[in-house]
Amino acid sequence: MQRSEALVNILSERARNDTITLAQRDVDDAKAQAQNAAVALASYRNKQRIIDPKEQASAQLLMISKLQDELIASRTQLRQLQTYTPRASQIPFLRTQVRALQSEIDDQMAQIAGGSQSLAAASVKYQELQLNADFSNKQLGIAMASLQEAKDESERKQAYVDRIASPSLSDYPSAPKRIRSIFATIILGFLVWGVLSMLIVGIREHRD
Amino acid sequence: MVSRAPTKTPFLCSLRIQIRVLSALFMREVLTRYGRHNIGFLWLFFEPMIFTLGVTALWTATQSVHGSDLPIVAFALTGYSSVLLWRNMPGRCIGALWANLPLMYHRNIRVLDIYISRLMLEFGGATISFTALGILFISLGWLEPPEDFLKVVGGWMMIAWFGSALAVTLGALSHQSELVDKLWHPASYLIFPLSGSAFMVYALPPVAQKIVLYIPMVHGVEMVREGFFGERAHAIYDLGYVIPFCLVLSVIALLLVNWVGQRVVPE
Repeated sequence: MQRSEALVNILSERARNDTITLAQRDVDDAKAQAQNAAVALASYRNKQRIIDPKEQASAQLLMISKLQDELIASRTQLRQLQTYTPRASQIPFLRTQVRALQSEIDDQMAQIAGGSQSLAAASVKYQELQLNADFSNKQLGIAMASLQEAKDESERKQAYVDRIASPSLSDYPSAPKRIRSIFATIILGFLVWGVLSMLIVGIREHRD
Repeated sequence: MVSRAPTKTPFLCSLRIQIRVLSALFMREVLTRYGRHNIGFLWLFFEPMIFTLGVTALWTATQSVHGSDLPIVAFALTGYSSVLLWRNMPGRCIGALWANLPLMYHRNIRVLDIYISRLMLEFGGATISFTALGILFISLGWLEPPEDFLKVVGGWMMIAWFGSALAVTLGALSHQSELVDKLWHPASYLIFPLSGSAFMVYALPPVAQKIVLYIPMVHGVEMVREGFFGERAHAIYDLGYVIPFCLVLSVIALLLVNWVGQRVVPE
């Protein structure tokens, strides 16, 4: 019985191992994929020297809007001076300031959009990598969950064989019934002998 | 009967003589019974074939209840053929000795020979009819070929053995008492519905099963059906009962033949 229990459990163990191995392989695959995606994202960040194109772009846009505020203020002042005191000494100074601000704004704009080095161009590739990484992470999560499920399931499949009634020695043997069998054989033998001998006698009655 | 002292004849010689006697008696039976008119001895198996065909047609038409899902054609064929086998043997042997009394003048014709030749005839007729109808039905697609041919043969032989022993017993008794002839006909018709040809033991209530299984033909018919249909027939039979039964009956039959042989008076 112990051996039968062992056999049953060996069989179920094999089935269990198979399911768990399969689930484990899924998890490993997913893990490798997630890692690859993360590494690709990191190396791209390093190469492009960016952390998050969106954040960076918003920061730069904030700067540009500040510069534009300043530019508008300077232009307004310049126009006022030109209108009311055309010979003020501040005019050339203001003009330089307006020009500098304009060029600075153009510079910043170029960094955000347009051109191969701009943030907008980088953000396309970045988003692709980001998506990939997200997807891999989700897959890894699912694989982990199914592995856990397989483990739980297999735990439940363990079978136990137990002896309910133990064998007992009978009080007296009920078989073989020797005397009975011997008598039966003797009687059957007599019957066969009777039939055969009578048939043979019958044949012997035919004479030349 | 024999004037000079009987010389010792070797056993094989005796056997050869008996076989010769039997074949001669067999031919004589064939000729006296069927003659040479129209199809002659073909009646030997045409008669049972017509019987079986008729019963098959009747049972098919009435959709007879037989308590199993077996096809009715196969059921009727196996059932009625075996009835013919065990019922015709005693029918033929009863009074056989009276009809053949003149032959008893011949030294080498013994009482048993007359019975055996008639039994051979009946067995051959029933077997050929069963086989021919079986082949016909199988080729028509009404019947599946038997699942276990040897089991069919075994069951058939069991019925034949029982029929022969019964036939010789009744034949020998009939020589002493006419009552046997008179009683056998009603008895055979009464046993027919109980002989297992019209029902499967499996379909009966347990109490009836116990009683029916005391009838030896039932076992043979069940065995034939199991050979034909395999597991589907749910056959119930016990060779441990039939074989001793037939052995005892054979001993009785042979003793009776001896007894009759000693007091037979040739005409």
